[in-house]
Amino acid sequence: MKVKTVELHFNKTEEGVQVTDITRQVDHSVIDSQMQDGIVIVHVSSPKLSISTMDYEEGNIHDLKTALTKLEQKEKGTSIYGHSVGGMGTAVSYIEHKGKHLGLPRAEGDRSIMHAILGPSITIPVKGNRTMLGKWQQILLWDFGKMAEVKRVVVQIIGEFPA
Amino acid sequence: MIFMGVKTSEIQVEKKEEDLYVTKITKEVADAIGSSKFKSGIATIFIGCTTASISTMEYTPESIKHMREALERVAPSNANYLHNTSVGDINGYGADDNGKSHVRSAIMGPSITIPFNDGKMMLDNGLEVVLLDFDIIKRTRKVIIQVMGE
Repeated sequence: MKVKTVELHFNKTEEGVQVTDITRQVDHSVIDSQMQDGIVIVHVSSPKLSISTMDYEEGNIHDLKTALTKLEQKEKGTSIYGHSVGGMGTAVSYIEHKGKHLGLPRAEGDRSIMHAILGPSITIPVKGNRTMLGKWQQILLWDFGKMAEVKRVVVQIIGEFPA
Repeated sequence: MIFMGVKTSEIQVEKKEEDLYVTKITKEVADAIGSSKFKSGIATIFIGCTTASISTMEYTPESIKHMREALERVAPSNANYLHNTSVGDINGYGADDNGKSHVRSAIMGPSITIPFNDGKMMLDNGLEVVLLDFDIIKRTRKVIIQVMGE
């Protein structure tokens, strides 16, 4: 039993929320590791990022963005903390506490609610040096952060490697 | 000498209703841990599809009703979904009418990982491992249970 950790890096090239299919890069990390049986954990450690699985299709991405935006707006309406202001693509927000404006601008594109809903990581079983993803199932990186920032994705592979 | 290993198995789960269908699979996971003979480690329960999820919850009619109501707020059945009218995915397959199922599945996630010790899952009484099937048709699902331990 061994552990191998790989870092992948992705650029943000679109305004608003950017969704990137990173399945191929994760697959290559698993294949390169030669690990036969075990798990691969795909993880991000920033509130501006999330990892999910989905059938990567334009309609699905639009539909999930819409659902997340509605959830965020509902949260904004009831929360005392004041997270992002506006819908997808709007980037102005300020930190508030108990209704008091602290005058501290949050980072552009702060989508901490969306990050909390989608989560920071997924775990996928690996068998025979291949992930057990379904035929229509892709690994997606959700980027709620700034343009041109390089984002780090950690791929940790744990399992049985050849002797 | 400590020996760590990996055991992977599959179970079939039948979706018997067209609406949200919750199936308790705690016993099947416990059986997979028992069969592995590992004393301690982790069990990863995973579904390789995009219209169902794995989670933990209390398995009571009230909990399932509340889950159904919460999901209706997150991804309502009567909303307009682009997926239902789009031309197809990267695999060239056309759309169907289950846009809400894809949204619900992406939010709830495809897998969970549960630690076990002395051969027993570290779940409190009343907490169950469940398959949440969000699709709009009856079907059979394949769930992967991978046990890793020593």
